[in-house]
Amino acid sequence: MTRRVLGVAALLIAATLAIVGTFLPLYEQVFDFGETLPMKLEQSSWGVRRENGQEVLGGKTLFGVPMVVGALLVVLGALRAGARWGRLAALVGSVLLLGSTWAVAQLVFALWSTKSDGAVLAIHVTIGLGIVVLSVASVVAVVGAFLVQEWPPRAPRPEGPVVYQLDGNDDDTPPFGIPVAELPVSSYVDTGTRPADTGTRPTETVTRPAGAGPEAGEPGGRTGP
Amino acid sequence: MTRKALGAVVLAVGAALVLGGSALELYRLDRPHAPGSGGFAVTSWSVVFQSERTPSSGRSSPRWGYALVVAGVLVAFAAVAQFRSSRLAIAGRLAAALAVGLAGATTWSAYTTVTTLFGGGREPSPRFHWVIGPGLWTLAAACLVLLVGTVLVQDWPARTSSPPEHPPEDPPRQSR
Repeated sequence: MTRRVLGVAALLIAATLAIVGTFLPLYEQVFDFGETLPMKLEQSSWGVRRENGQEVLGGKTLFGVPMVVGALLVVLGALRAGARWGRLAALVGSVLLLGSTWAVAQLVFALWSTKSDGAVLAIHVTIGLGIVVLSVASVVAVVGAFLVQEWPPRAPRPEGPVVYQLDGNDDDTPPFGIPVAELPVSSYVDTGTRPADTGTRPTETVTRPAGAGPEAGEPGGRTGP
Repeated sequence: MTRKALGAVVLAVGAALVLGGSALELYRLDRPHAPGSGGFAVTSWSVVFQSERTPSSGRSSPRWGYALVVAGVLVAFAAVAQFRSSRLAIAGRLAAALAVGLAGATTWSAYTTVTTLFGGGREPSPRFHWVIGPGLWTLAAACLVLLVGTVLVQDWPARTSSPPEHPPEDPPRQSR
């Protein structure tokens, strides 16, 4: 499964979750008056209802409008993911969904964290399933929108050593760094005699077949890994 | 001025509008005949009660300002990134699209909250008067400006020249 197909699937799943989430309760408020029966209100993305289904406020709180617009843009982006405007629509729609959920979550959190004194009226707020479903839908939509984007391809990694060749006559700096100063051959000559009780480690004699090249770390040898 | 530079300027104006609108008043409910004895004002950061019997301290409010500040910062980055490297310009275009969604959704949610849950959709009482504050108007204008700026800075593919439907006819040959 390619990255774009996975993104399209995520966008479609997110749009479905978002549409379903708008009909689920965002939060529930229970007004406890003490002596009388408590009143329970349920806020969805389309209005406030009592437990018997009766609407409470005259106007409708239409949190769901940008959510549905965002879901439609996400579906459009999933269907037209091959076009640039389709990918842009998916991105805007997913963030429209995320921003709507964020704004509603701020409101729900403010209601939930409000402390009532409880002397005359105690208000209990419960966070509903709608917030959870919308949050999941928003995250999945944003991930899907980024997956369907057309990212520029990365440059292939070189397999061998990389040599940067400078243009022009650049004789002052050798291409492989500063050469190691060569010592005179006489400094390598070992007498072969073991020092008697000096406590120092004897000098190791390096025997090498004739014609063998220098080793790493020696003059003229390899300087890199 | 090129289209991309114009878009960057529009985005910069949009960023200022978003950040400015987040600090202004979104909604106000007051009593014109008895000022100071009731009503409240809503901003993106707090609900300020004007009644002496109901102090404002300790009351939580839906702080939409967080999302608005994030949107403003994204737009400011998008405006600056258009004049930087091509990689930053791509990130800026994505950030502008993100900010449009974030600012639009937050503005709508604030509008629908203050006009219904806070009683702005209808007069709660003849003694009270409500008004949509300058912050909400500023945010609505910012959303339109951001949308225009985001479309302007996008790197749209160049249109291919379509062949003419009616090819030019050959010039009439003159007979000797």
